[in-house]
Amino acid sequence: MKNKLIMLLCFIPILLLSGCLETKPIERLAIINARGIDLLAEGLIDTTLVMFQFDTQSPDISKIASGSGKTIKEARYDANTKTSFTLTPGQIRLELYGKDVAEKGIISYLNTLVRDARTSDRVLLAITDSSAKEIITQGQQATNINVGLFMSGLIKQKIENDSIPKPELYDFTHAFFEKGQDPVLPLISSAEGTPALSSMAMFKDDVYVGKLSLDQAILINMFLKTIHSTPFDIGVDAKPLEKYLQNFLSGQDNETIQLNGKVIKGRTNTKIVDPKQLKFQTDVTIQMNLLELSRELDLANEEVTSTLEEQIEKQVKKQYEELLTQTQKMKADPFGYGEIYRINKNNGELKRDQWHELYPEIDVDYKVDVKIVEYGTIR
Amino acid sequence: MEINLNIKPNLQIRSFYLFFVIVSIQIGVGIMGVPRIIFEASGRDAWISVILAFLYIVLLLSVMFLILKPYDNADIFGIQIDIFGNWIGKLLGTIYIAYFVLNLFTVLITYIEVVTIFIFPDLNNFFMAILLVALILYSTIGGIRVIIGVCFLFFILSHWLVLLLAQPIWEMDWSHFQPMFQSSLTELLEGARQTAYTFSGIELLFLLYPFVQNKKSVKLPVYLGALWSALLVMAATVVVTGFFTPEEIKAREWSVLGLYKIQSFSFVERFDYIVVAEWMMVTLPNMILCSWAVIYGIKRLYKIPQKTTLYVLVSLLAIASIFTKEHYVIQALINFSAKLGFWIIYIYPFLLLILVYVKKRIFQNKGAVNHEK
Repeated sequence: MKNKLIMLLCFIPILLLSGCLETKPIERLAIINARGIDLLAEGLIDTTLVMFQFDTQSPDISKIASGSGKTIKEARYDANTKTSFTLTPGQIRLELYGKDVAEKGIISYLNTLVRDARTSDRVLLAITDSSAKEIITQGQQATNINVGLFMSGLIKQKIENDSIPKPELYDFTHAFFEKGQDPVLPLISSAEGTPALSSMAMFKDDVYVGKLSLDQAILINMFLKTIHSTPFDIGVDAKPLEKYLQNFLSGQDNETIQLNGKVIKGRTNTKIVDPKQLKFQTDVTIQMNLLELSRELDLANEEVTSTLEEQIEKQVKKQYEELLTQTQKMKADPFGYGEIYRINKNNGELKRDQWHELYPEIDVDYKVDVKIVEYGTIR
Repeated sequence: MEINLNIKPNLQIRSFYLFFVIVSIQIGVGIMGVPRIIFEASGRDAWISVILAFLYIVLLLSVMFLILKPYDNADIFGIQIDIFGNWIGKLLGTIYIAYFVLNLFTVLITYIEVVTIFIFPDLNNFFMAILLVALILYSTIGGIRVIIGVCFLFFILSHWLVLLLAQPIWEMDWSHFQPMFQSSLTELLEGARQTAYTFSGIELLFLLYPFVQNKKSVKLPVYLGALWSALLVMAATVVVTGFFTPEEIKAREWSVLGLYKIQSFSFVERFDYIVVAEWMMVTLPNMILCSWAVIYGIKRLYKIPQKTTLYVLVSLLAIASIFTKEHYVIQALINFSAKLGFWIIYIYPFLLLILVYVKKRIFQNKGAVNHEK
């Protein structure tokens, strides 16, 4: 009996103490799902928050609030003074940085995200080509749905078919801290008010240094991982294929043939040929389906297919080389050649910034192998 | 005080359960942060340090069995009194118990700190401590067989967390391990030494041994338990090294919990919350076993009833937790516990082994067959 009493006394606190915690009823919360960060003069940070607010009196649940402060948290509290709801950052899906911030470096803002255990590591990062505030406020008017979800949707669909390297917080910080690699992020611009994913932003460490196209994003992603079912467009030289053209089926007479296909499986394998001379060799293997041709070819003929494959190989090799020289000019390595270099160094160490000096010197031999697996129902 | 114990059959346990006991007491809060500590010492080759630590533990366990072997059914308290006499033996026994108290307390406050940082920033330490302590009290009061049962159940209920590591493994960067074998032997050994706090707990064998029913088959479950713990720590270290860059590892206090921040399911967006809550099932058996060791030890040495000690112990724990809110205090306690544990658990048994066999030799020469005086 006495024992039971003691047990009871132990369990009463268990039942009651849970009431001592801070309560967060959803009707009184504003759940932030996207945040834009811009710089004002004098080091002030301007944040624009897109949030859900489950207000019974208003039919529109998406709201925008903004505030400024010296730190991101201070800016959030400032924004909070302008809303009647408690702003909660636990569900932020997208962080959008204005161009000014990106050009100064964003790692200090990311540290805030990592330090706070309550933000997810799966936050998507992106930058804009104007100010984040502009994109968000204009976008909210133009899209009619929650612009935070709209923009993260833009990026997510590209990630799902492997068209761009994953721009989550974890991936960015990983590439940032990796001494032989630099991060890339999607760049969102405004197309008549509606936000659109227009290109990729190349970073040197955490500083935005230049634009890359979305086609190049596929090449980078194929380097970083094996890609599957990725839409793929490429233009090949028409001349070597001239004699196989079915002219009566093709309309315009162009120098190039535009191809559209789907990469079933694309991957690369890189090895270092000569560590001293910084010579690398990258083997690219692409298996693809052909979906559309701007000029019809007699694809049933094996000779035609292999000539076409050869032309695509040539083109991919050229694109890779262009991408390499372009990034070498920026002194930023999106591929991670520096990591391969580090592994093959004697002590396995690479100093910060050392690779930025060496990267422009490297020489890569791309060996591309393209296989067309299927070409649809038309022969 | 009796050196050898006569345990009633209804309190005896089957040796098979020692596997769960060893894993439960070794794996607690230590594993959450240990990859960083090992990595700071031995860098990319941190995983080799874990293997070294495991080999050392196997050696240690065989030494412990050798110490227990000459006695019929003794525990560490009895053996110490047999070797050092009543006074010094009791003093050493008290140090042993004090170490268990310290260990128990560090586990409790570390877990509370993790909950505070990950889930409830405004959580009051004292309330959280009371909640946990109530559970400890409830299980420990049930006696040794209930405690073993709790270990067994929570082992099964918490091990699914390992499966969640699949996602970070998928995204691992194997280049983080290359080039291999670059750390020097001293660095590797230093790394192995850093696992002292995480792998501590095997000293419980010294207390539980008399309770084991079938002593002939006691070794295998114990070795397997140590192997299992080592594999878990190994997995944690390998995944953390591959998943985070060196700077990120050094920056993260609980790198293993960081691994759980990337899982996301359609039904639970933030899985790390669940993992932190679930971690209670990892730490609870740990705390229960420690508190059992304390109350049992005090009963053995001073004949104070177990329940009295238990109530005093849990109240002291709850009250002391009020004063340890700061991270630095907690870290200092853990470091102290790790240092003390290093000498008590990892070095002392070797000394004891020598003394036990020297004494046995002397008595054999005098013709004494029996240790009981």
